[in-house]
Amino acid sequence: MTRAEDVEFRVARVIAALDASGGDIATVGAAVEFAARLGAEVAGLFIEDANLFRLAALPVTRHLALRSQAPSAFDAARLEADLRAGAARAEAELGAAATRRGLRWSFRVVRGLPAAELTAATVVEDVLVVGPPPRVSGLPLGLGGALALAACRCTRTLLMATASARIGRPLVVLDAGSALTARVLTAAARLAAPGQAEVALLILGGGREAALLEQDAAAWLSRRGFRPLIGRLERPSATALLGRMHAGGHDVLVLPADLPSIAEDGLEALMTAADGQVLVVR
Amino acid sequence: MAEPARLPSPLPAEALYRTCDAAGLGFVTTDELVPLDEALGQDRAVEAVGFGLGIRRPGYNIVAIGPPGIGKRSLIDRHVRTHAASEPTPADWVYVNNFAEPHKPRALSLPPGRGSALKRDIQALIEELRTALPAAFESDDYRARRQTIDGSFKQRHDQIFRQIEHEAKERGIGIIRTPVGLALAPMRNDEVLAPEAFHKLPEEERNRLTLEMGQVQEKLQAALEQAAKLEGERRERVRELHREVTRNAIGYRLDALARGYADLPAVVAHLEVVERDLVDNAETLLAQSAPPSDAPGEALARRALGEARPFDRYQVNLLVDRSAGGGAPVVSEDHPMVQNLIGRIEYRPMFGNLVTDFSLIKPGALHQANGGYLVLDARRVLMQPFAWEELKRALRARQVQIRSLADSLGLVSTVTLQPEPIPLDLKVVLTGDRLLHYLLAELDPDYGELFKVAADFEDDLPRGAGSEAGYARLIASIARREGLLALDAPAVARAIEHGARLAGDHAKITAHLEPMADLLREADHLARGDASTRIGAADVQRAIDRQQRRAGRLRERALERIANGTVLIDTAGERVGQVNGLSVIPLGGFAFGHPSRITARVRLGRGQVIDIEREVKLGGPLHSKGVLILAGFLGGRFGRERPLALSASLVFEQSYGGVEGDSASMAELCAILSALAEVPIRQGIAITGSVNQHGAAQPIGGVNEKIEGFFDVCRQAGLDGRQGVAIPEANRRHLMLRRDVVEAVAAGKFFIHAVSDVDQALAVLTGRDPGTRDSEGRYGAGTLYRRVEEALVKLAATVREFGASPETKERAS
Repeated sequence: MTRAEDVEFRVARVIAALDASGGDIATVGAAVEFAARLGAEVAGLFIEDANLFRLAALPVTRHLALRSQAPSAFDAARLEADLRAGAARAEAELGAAATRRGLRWSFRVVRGLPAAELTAATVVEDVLVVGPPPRVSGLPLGLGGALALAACRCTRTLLMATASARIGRPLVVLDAGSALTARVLTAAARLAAPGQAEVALLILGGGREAALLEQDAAAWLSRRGFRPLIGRLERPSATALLGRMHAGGHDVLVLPADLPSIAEDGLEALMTAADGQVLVVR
Repeated sequence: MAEPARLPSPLPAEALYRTCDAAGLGFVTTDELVPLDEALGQDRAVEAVGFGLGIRRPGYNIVAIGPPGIGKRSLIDRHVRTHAASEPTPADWVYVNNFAEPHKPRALSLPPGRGSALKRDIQALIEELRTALPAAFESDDYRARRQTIDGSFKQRHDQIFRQIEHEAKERGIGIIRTPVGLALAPMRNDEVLAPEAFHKLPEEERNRLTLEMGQVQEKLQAALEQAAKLEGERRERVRELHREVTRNAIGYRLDALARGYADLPAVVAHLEVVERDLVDNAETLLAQSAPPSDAPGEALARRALGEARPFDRYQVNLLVDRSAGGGAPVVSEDHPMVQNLIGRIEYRPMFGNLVTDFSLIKPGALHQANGGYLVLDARRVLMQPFAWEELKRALRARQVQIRSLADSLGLVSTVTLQPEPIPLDLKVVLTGDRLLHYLLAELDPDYGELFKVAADFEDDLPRGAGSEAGYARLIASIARREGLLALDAPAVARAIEHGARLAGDHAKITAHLEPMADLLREADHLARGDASTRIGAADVQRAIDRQQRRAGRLRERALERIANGTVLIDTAGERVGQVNGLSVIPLGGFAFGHPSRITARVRLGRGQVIDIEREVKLGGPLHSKGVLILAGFLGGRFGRERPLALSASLVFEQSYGGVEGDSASMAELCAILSALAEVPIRQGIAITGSVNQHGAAQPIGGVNEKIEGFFDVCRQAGLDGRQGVAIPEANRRHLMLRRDVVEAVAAGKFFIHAVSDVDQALAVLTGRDPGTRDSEGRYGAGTLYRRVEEALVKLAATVREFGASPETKERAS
């Protein structure tokens, strides 16, 4: 932990990852709030998923309209128009929200596969913000428009947004085996609401290493004027983490990307199950 | 020439003005007097008002009638307030939301003072709910239960999706979200199969994919249906949770509130409805009361939509607040437009439209006066469109229903409020003049039914020692109320004399308090200007003089026109068929007399008197009637033995503005007789009075102004000791002449003759006895009437000479 003293959680840009799945309001709201808290620029990246154009070109594609849930036609011309409209709407929302908060903002539209485009359009010091997987009648259909899935696989710090853009009461998850503890703590400290005195820590696992981590983290926070509220979770899982988050009334879960419990498909499962905001620090 | 025997003696100066004995009043200044609390000389009206206030039956509303400025309003106010103070304070009224039918707000009655208490209690409850409800929904308990519900349904949803996704994935099919829907497509390595790759697939594989995509689509549709049902269930569970949480959060608060109103079942019932509505709509209330985002215009839009104050629907609109107590209310509405009477419904703009609700219902005077008394000026009510009809409607129905005018008239058909009517139990007191009262009684069938008690105010009161003393106290009351200097006894005496002059009768005093109050105020102003410590008789006289001076421009102009010969009036000499009549010109609160030259010409005719004024439509009906009476007199006195073969024409010389009234009929008769007899009339004498068919003089109005008017003309021309005015004997009691006129009479420079008939009038005007019939029915030789008869005989003979009646000749021609 002593090395954590020198680690910074520097954010160059907050990238709002947007697509035509309709979750742009939550994404834009969270991205702007996050950028405002960190004093960063906010950028909109609207991805026109190349898979959609393949869909339109395939002769066997079947399409159900969302409103009627009945079969409907799906063609490239219609897709182009819908994407243009979606991009314009997203840009307007981002511009308005950023202007209200006095933030610098930019917006661009790219076409390609989401994972590749996200990686290509971002740098390490960017934070990606994606909306929750859109649901249709409660069903998490559409794989988050593939965007959330791609974001999970992108090697950038990731914030999964919800309709409520509040981020003032983080629950910080620390693991003794993580190399990102200092960054996570720094991020949590920066996210804490102005005047907030307490920061909730959730130490995973047990044993001596966990105890040392708890001491170090508590001391780190204390030096910065925060009063740590320490909790322990012996057997971490996505469900357990989210349960603690809800139980404590926290509005954002801050955790390192190298947690074993979210390795492989774990992060996707966490994202799918989460109904609060999750910040995955890389 | 010796004065004729029948010439009435001129009136002595004492008969022209009745003084008030200042010494007899019994005080030095009005400071010594006890103010008069009761109306002087209005016993009949006071009795009627007392009766009207005492009887609590429908329709026994009061109408106080009498001329303006007579003190009706102050008397009514005093009596009504005294009466009302001893009566119980009536109920408060509130309007509350009707949750079942919001366009029909409910009216609740509460004991006095408890309406405002209910408003405060509800406001406090709302303030509590603003924090308690969100707190309940942020509690750990709520979160946990909500999480349980959402979690369980999410799990079931996810399970459905995973199943369909798994099934699709196994068949190499992906479910992709598109901008407007969901698509199924063949997948390879998490990517949609490119069209070229698809076409390269074996036909069998393509067919399989096509077939299976159809199957997955059907399953996806079924899953969506199932998910929709699940989502409905989830929402219902959440709604029930919200109801429960809300009930727990508000139930004990509303119960405590209801206990305070346990004696008022209507209020308790309303609170129960409020609770049900809160429970059913908590979620909406929470959403609406959440702070707006920083999106520009959102706060404005929410405020415009009424969302920013979602709890307003539970507020209480305190329509009538009686918390001050003090007995029955007494309301005086000076601007009785219909909305001010029955209340109104206000509107607020919203996105270019006007909307309203129960909180925008405003009370009218009927609400405020309910259970008490409403005082209205009848003329003002009648001048306001629809106010009279709405007032009657409310009194007849004994309830007040607030409706917009447009709604009443059927001018709009949009949805508006229909507030529940409020029972009405009040007494209306109308004040107005007699003409209005008589017109309404004659023309409005509802009037007599709704205003059964008429309090008829006297215009004046009899003058005597007792009433003069009472009037002195009245003057003292006015002086004290107005903060005037005290009046000494001579000043009061002069004011009383002026009161008699205003009454137009030396045996009465005016009951019009406003002109008297004006006089006292102006006398006070003059006295203070002289640094006096009290108002003296000279101050009162100066005030009278100045009032007349201010109002006297036209009078002076009229005199000037006579002086410079523009208007021809002789005040000396004699003329045949010409006499000075007198008229009064009223100018608002001021009137002055003015002489008019009346001339008559006679000729052969059929016994008719031609009124030139009427012929040219300048004569009013009363004047015409007076002239026709002259024909009756002439026929009766001179036409018994032979037809009257004359035609007489009468005219007011230099009159261009119309003539009305019969007060010149005596003058006109004298002019005709002078013309017939060719006996001249003394131009220094003016005459006023009407005459009947028997020749008797009848009283007229404005006698003082008429005498003074001719006096001024004579004085301007120079008083020669032979000038004067003849008035009807019956007008003697009305004489309260100006001091300068009285002094001229006392000095023998001017005369007032009171005549009882045309004979005396002719004697005064001609200076000779007109004659009386002897035992044979003939007038003495040389008398005026003998000359009249001779003239008529001559005219008749002339007609006979033609051998036919003038009528026949006229037809032949």
